[in-house]
Amino acid sequence: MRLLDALSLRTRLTLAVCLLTLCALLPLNILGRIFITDNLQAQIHATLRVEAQGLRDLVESTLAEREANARSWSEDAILRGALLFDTFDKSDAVLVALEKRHPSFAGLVLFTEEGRAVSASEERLRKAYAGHEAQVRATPWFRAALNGRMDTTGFTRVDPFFERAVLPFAVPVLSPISGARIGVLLAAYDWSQVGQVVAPALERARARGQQSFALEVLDSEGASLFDTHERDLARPDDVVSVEAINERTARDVGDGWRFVATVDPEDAYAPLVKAARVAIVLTVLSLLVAGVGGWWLARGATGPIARLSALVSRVVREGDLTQQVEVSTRRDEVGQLASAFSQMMDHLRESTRGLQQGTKVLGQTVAELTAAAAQQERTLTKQAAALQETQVTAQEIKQTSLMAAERSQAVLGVTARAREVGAAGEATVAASLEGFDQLREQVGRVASTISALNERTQQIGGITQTVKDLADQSNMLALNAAIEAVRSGEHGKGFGVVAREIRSLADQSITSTGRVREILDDIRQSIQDAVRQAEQSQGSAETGLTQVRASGDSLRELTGIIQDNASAAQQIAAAVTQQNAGVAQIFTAVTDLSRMMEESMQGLQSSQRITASLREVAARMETVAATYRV
Amino acid sequence: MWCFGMVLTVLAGMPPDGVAQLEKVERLMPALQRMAVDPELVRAVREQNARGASLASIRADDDGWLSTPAMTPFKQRVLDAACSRVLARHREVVGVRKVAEAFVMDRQGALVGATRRTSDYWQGDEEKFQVPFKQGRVLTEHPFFDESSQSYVIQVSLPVRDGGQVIGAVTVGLSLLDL
Repeated sequence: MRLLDALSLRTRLTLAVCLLTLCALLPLNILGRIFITDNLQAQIHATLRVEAQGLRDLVESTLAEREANARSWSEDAILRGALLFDTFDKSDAVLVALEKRHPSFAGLVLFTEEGRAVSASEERLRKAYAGHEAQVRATPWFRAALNGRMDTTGFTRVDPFFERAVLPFAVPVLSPISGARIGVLLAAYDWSQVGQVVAPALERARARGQQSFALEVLDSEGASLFDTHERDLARPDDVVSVEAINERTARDVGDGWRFVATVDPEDAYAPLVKAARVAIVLTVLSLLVAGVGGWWLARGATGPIARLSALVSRVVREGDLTQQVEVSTRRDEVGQLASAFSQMMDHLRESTRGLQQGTKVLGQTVAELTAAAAQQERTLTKQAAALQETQVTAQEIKQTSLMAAERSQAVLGVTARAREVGAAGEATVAASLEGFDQLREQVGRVASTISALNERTQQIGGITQTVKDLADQSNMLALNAAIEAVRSGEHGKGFGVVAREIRSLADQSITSTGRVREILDDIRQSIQDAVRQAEQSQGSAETGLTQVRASGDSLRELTGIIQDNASAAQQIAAAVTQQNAGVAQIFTAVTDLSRMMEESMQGLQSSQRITASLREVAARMETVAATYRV
Repeated sequence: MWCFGMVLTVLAGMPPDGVAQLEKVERLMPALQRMAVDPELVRAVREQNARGASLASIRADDDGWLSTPAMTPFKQRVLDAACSRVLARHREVVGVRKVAEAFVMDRQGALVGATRRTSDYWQGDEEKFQVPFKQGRVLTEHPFFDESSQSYVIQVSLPVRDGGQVIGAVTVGLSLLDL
């Protein structure tokens, strides 16, 4: 099958047609040969049988006829009379006439019982027999004739009197008066005449083309009496032979003879060989015709397909759609295919052209779209930024507004409180005036307390110095104790530790003492400052008292202002609340806008992504569309 | 005796049946003799002799006879002659089948009468006339096949005497196989 795969469709179709033809012809040829062989065999045998039977019938009838001739002649009154009355002029004439009328006889001779030839169809014969009476009497045919029989023994030898092979029909001549035998009539049949008898059969055989056809006559013993086959040539062993036997139905010449028709098998079956040769030639011719026909058919069928295939290959290889499909005038499937393919090519061309134009437009559109998207993006980005800012601003405004509202409320509260405070202030101012008086007195008491405190502080300083000295001495003692501990060796170790602790405590005491002194210094400083301040406060309280009086006056005026302010603040608060609601709405709107902007941005981004994909697709399409040239 | 001797000569080589037939011829001789002496026959010969026809005219008549195998008035006249009737009568006496033919000749050998058309008119040159006429004896010829009667015939010729004188001859053809 692989071998077939390598072959072209045309070759395969041609091979298939040849194979089909061979498949159809081969059984026919084989069957034909078998039938022809059988028929020919039967025909040859039938023909040979017919020829053999024909030869038998012919020879038999010929011999029977000749015998009947001889017998009838023997009853001829002239011949009888001639023998009776010993006058032979007329019998000679009769015999001459008979021989002339029956040329198959080599001669007719009339013998007396003694074997004397008294009359003959030819003078030559009579003379030849003259003096050979004894010889005549010795012949089997003469002896048999005297006994009323016929004996043709050894007739194929050349007769000395007739100088050729003759079949002696010898019949007794009887007296018409008494029926006594008065002589013998010899009618010598020229045996070579059998050749003429069988000549038509041979002629027929030659006409049939059987050159080797031969006819043979055998006597009952199997000895050859006549044979048309050349004597020098031996018959082949496998000669086709059919014989017919002359049955002894009636006693006559030729009883038991066998008539054989033979033919050389090579010759006989020559038509078969010829037919086989013709069959082979015809088969080869048929195969050639079938091959040519198949090839032509395949060519007709595959040619346009091959051209279409080449065209498609070229289209695929070179992307050239400008090629024209040759549309044949054929109306068959291939023609329809070519026509359909041509239409397809036209459609493909138009599609590709449309695709290319569309792709081009698409590319441009996508580019424009991309540019527009970019522009839109920029715009939107700016808008988004602006919106962002707006939002922020709105937020701020909102907060500010809230704050303003709150503040306005606070202002309202403050205003109320201010009113209260104003009232309370007035009361306070009055109380302040009393307080200032008490304050002046208390400041004087504070100044004396502070002086006492200063003295106490100085006393604490002296105690602190003493503590410090004690600490120094403790430290010194601890040091000495440590040295002593080291000297004490192993036993002083524990004491060394205690000394070290004591030293540490002494150090801490010293440090704390230092700090206490510092604190005392600060306190003293502070007390001095406080004294000074108290002195200043005393003076200030005098001043403040005056001022408070003035302030009380101012405060009353202020309360009146605050009252006015409170009314204004209430109005403001109402306006601010209203504004705040508007700002809230603005903010909500801006927020919505911002969300929408985000969505727009997302949409834009999606659009950009899609545009990018579109661009990619357009580019790919452009590549694809550019594959084909139209 | 001479007659018998002649028969023996004829018989030489003949089979017995042949000899027997010839012997039958011998037995018919008296009847033939009676025919030869029949007065009507003798008279007829005499009358024809008396007419004295010349040999030349006879030969001329013979030529006319031979010129055609068909019946001619002349032939008819001979066949219708009184002599022919005598011969016919004797033929019937002997046997029509036995007597193939019979004819009478005058002194010159010309036909006087005949039972059928003979081959020629003038027999003067043949033995069947000369032997009986000149020698005055009976002539029995060798049998032969007679084409006219298509049978084997033996011809016996006898002299016709008128008072002891031979004036003519009579020939009788006997069909041997009918005897």
